[in-house]
Amino acid sequence: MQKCHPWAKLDAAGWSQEAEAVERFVSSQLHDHVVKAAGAGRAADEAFSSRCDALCTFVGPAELHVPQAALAPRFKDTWATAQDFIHRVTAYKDPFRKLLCIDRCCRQLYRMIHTAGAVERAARMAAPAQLPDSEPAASPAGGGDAVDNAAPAAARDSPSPAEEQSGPSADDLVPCVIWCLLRSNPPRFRSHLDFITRFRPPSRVSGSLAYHLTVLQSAVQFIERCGAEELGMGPDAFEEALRAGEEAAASRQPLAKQLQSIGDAFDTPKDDAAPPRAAEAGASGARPDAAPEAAGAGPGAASAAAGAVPLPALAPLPMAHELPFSPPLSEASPSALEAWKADRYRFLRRDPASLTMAEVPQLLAEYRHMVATCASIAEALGLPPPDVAQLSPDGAAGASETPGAQ
Amino acid sequence: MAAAASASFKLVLLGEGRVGKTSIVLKFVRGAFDDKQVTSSDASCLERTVSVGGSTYKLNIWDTAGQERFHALTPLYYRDADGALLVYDITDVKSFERVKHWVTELRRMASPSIQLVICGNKADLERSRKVDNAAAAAYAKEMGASHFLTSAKMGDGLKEAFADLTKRIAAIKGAGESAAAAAPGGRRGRRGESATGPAARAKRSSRFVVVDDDAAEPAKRSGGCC
Repeated sequence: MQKCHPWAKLDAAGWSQEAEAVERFVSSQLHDHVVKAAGAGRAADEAFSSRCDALCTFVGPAELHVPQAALAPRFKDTWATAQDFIHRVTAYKDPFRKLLCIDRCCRQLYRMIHTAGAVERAARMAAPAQLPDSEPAASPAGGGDAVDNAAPAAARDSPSPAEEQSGPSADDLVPCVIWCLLRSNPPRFRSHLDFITRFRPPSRVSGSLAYHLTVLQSAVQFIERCGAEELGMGPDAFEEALRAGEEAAASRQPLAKQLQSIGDAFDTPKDDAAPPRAAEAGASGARPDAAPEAAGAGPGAASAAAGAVPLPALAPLPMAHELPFSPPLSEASPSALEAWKADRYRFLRRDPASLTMAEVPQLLAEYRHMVATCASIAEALGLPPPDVAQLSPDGAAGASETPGAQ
Repeated sequence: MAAAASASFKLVLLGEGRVGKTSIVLKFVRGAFDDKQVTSSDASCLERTVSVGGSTYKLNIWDTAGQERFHALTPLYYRDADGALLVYDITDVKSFERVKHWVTELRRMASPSIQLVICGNKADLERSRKVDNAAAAAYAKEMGASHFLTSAKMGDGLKEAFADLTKRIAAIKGAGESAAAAAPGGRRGRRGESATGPAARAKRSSRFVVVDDDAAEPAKRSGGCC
């Protein structure tokens, strides 16, 4: 490639820019096919996702030893932004921008720990009456000579007086990243991480990008493998809690899972040039088309309430609570459920030839309802709106096997 | 061209929580940095360029979480690392046991060419020392690692430890490379020194630090290196 006409005269910097652009283009074209393809990855993703859900029910910042000071209300926005970055990892379609998101997420958390530590330190040094509320980044207390406890020692047992902790370290960062990932639990996160390693050779991931990628990989590994010992619980208590958590998660799971597969089925590669949406749900919404820089600027936007988001292309949508919802499905017996489905989804298995004109308005109404549901779900999961026009006539079943195929 | 890094090495810091891993890096880095800059950037992953034996190398120093419960994650960090700095607290026997554990693990799992340096940190707390220095040095020698006493608080022994590690990695790598790399003995040439010194110093503002070879040599001996 370097010998061909448009590239032949490039210098090293120009060449690396070109290579970057080509990588971005090629990988974003392949992205959905690779990440969303069925296979071992999907099963692992689902296992990871449900494990996150289960752990979330009983693992808190205390179990992970997230520094106490970092949980202050003033850092709520920081956590939201960090989670938002985690979600964006799944929204971007090229490895470099995914990496940037990871990097930003870790930096955000790192800075938070630093600030938290400095606040605590300042509080300890200042008179107990006055609480520091200024950003301590401007004045990191304790010069080079005075070595003091910078790192929040709340979670530690016995910080010795001579302990030299000049700043936050990986000891604090890793628990925060784990907690953040556990809380965000974006769909198919493992596949997205794998995508980075597959499409970006290690030689081109350097410095803090490489480090933060490793931190995130280690967080994934921790979540997958952690047991009673790591969380400081008794083995029995852990098993018990995990089982309860799994059950609790499973009762919520079917809907989410169904929705996820719907989302995947309807998901088709989307142009990067789509019009940016102004406001989006923070914790759950990812912005595929916003630059990563934007989030650092407005962490407030990230904490906007979920659910109040207007969908772009589908104008008058019934709100979720207006949709006629079914009887509690989880409580119905299997046979009753089947009967219910056959009644309600009456067009699902119909032969096109058997449709009458009189049924068309009803069919259309149901179609609208379904699209509205799928779209709001896709939105909530951070997926692009379903592009049903590209489905093949044999239906969603075929499309779910090869998403994006026309 | 002497100031341009001829190679970049990845180093990992291993050690139990609270032994002062991070402090070591920060202190090592502070020679050329005021701490405002250091602490506002991510101190768990730092890049420094050092000059050893007339050649310049870029060091990527990766911090790891030292807590016992994150132990299983460390392989992710030390895979394809060129060197490891194992830190223990001379006032804490348990932390030295952890170091032994890691040495065994690294010898088994990590790349066979990985170079190890063991640092007995908090050397300023000599009074409350619990780990026998001679025993630690003997252990390090047996394992083919260097042993240094460091104090992140006073800044003692840090340059020596990093210089030694860099030198040994360079020697290993240099065996397969061309003449530019440092000779195994780390013989410093006056010419090389005068060429790199000012140039690298001029770059200090852009995150460069020079490890002075002169300081490294004698202190290494007194530090109980093997």
